[in-house]
Amino acid sequence: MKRLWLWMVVLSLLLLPAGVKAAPKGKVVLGMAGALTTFDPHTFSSLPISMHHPNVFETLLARAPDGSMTNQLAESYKMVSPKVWEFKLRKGVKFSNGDPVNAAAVKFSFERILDPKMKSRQYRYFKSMAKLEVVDEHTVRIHTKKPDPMLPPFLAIYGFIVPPDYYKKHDKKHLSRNPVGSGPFVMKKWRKGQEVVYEANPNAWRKPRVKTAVVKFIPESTTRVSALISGDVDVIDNLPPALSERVRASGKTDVIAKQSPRTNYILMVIKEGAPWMDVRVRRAMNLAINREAITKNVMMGFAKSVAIIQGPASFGFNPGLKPYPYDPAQAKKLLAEAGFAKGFSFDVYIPRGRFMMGKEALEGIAGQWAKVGLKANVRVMEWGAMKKIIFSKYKKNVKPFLYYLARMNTAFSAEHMFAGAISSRSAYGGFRDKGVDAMINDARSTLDNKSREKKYQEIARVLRHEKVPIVPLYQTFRIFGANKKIDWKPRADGKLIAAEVGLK
Amino acid sequence: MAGYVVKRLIQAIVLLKCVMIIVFLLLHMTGDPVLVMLDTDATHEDIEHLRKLMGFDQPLHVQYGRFFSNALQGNFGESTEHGESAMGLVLEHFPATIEMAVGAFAFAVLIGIPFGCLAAFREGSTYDKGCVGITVLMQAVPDFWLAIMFIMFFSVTLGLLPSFGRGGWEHFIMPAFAASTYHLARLARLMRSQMLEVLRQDYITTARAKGLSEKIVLMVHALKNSSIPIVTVMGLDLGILLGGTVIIEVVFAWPGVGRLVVDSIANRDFPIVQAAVFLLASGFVIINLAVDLVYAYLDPRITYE
Repeated sequence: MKRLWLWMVVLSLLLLPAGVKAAPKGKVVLGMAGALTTFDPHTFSSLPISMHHPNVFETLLARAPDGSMTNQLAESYKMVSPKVWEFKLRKGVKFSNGDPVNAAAVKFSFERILDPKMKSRQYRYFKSMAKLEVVDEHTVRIHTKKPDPMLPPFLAIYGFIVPPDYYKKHDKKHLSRNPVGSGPFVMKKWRKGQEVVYEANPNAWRKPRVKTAVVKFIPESTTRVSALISGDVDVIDNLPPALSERVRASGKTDVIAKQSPRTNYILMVIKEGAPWMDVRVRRAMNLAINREAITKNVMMGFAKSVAIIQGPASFGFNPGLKPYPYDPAQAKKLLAEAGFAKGFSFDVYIPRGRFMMGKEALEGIAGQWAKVGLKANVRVMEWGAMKKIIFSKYKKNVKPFLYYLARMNTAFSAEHMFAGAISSRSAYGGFRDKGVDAMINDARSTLDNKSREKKYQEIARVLRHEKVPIVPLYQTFRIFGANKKIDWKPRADGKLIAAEVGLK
Repeated sequence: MAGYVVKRLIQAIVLLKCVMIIVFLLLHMTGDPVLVMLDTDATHEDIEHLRKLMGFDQPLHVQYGRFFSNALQGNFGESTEHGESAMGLVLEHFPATIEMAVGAFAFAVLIGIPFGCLAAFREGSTYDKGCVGITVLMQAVPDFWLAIMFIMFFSVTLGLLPSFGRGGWEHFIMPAFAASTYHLARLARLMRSQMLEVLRQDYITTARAKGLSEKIVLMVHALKNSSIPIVTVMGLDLGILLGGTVIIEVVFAWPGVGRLVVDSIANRDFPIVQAAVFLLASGFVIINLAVDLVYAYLDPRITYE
């Protein structure tokens, strides 16, 4: 039997035309925490989903593992006029069903996201699009309502290209379970809540590292770790820092961790009646926190302090800014100057079980605040209930409060982060400043990359040194456990993509 | 009897309707589903846009009317997270839940009842004392802790059983047993005390005096007469196991309805929660009816008017 198999391999190698890459071999099993709800690539936006869809679908642009922008289905792209982007497509690429990847497929896919009937949650990343124009088989133009330099980073995350005929022919449920794309894998089998089985796509121009990848859904972290150590799975994500030692100690498995663009921060409802209306108080609240102690002791080294809101991988990051130093004496002095020598007390909210070690870190921070007289009542909430509280923040009878949030900035964009926490347009921020809003709008509409980057760096400086709109904390790492036989490097955007996992 | 069943079924429909109204209102009190659907980079404009598309901008009574008229036709709407029929998804996850619930129930009944009977027959013996001690322990230990210990021992240390997931019988043993422990112990203790009480009754003495063999006295006269509270608790156990093994499902990554519902509550995926509650509540009602009908068999003095 073994000999027969050997002969078959030899024979097939002889038959392979020279120069063709050998087909991928082997199988990996991943254990992932997040749930996968659909394989329709145009409807939802969530991190767990965005780790699955790139196995099966491709975007025009993409992020390389180091976080830099690369082309995927696009061969090149340029801004032909302030409101028109032109993309040239890679030639000869086929979907797994044999249909060609062409300009019509791009037009169809983006229009599908914009279609109100789809109720797509990705709509907000595409809403600046006014019209899609097929120039020729491999050239497509995107006309935007106003100049939108922010389009490329989002086209590297969303906007998966699908074959129009297939997606027109089938209903929603069928499409949710039977994806067709041009990615390295095809989805072979999916049992909801249990597993997804991926097989190498024979038509793919980018080959996966193994022939078969299986993703098992394991929500409980101790079970994931047990499954890894017992050899039931080869890689796991969302490894809690406290369990990392068990993974290291097993002898068969390693801890793989990398700083992710998930910035954790404490936001403040800055309005009349809040002690932190005074910028000195906000600065004092920052100076009273020993970030190094938190990242070292609570996060066990799996976090790195940030100066304001972005990490080094993000566009617009200002390398000249340092995190706020730990200076309780200065904090006390500033509080006294602002008239709060005796301190004050306030509520600070955090969602339960959503951010890595968030509650523990916040309790540590509350302890540090207590040393300068700031009495923080930590309130742990269910996520939906906490969002409801955040939305009541500017109501008259609501006492100003603080809240701990984190944002995964997979677009690596300054705009994305400012819009989410700093600008007064933001639904989740608590800071409103006309000057800063104007700076953000100005940066967003600046078409030249170099000068836009400079403007974002300047905004970061103003926020860090003058406005102090939030309490920036750190970026947490994405922590994985892997069997020693696995060959895989973590990505800058923190995603675990099965097609990139190989065997040594 | 037939009249009784019809009356109970009509009651059940009214009951289910009340349950659905309460669930609808409770869900809508937990907060705005649109807020949970969009991540924290959303602007007010994005949120309003989606709210309109999803129809959550309409008054609550309009939303309820729409929900109820659809539900009457068996349509619980489309899951907001999965983009397909909510009831279809719940039914898809239901076999896994039934498998675990029936398995755990079988463990509880097949182990708990004989243990309880034996303890009663040998009241005061070392076996009896051991049985009481173990069942107290089994009721006190939290099932998630037991589940994690099982995985550590049987999967990681011994490598005997798979650490998670659904598949063959080897996947099923640990979760079903972990889910059964509390119910097993409760049944054993209840069986013991019921049996002890029955054994002191005059008719048992009479049966013995008649010269019936001890086996017949215990298995026919004592067991049947001590069964009514046991059957009641068994019905409750089965109902609870069908709806309430969420923690075990999460720990063992078991793809059941419990896990689906917990995820759906967190995501404010109302249609799934409503469909699942409807299904589980119906199951509970049917089990209760079955329990009531079994009473008549166990005690012919009970009649249905």
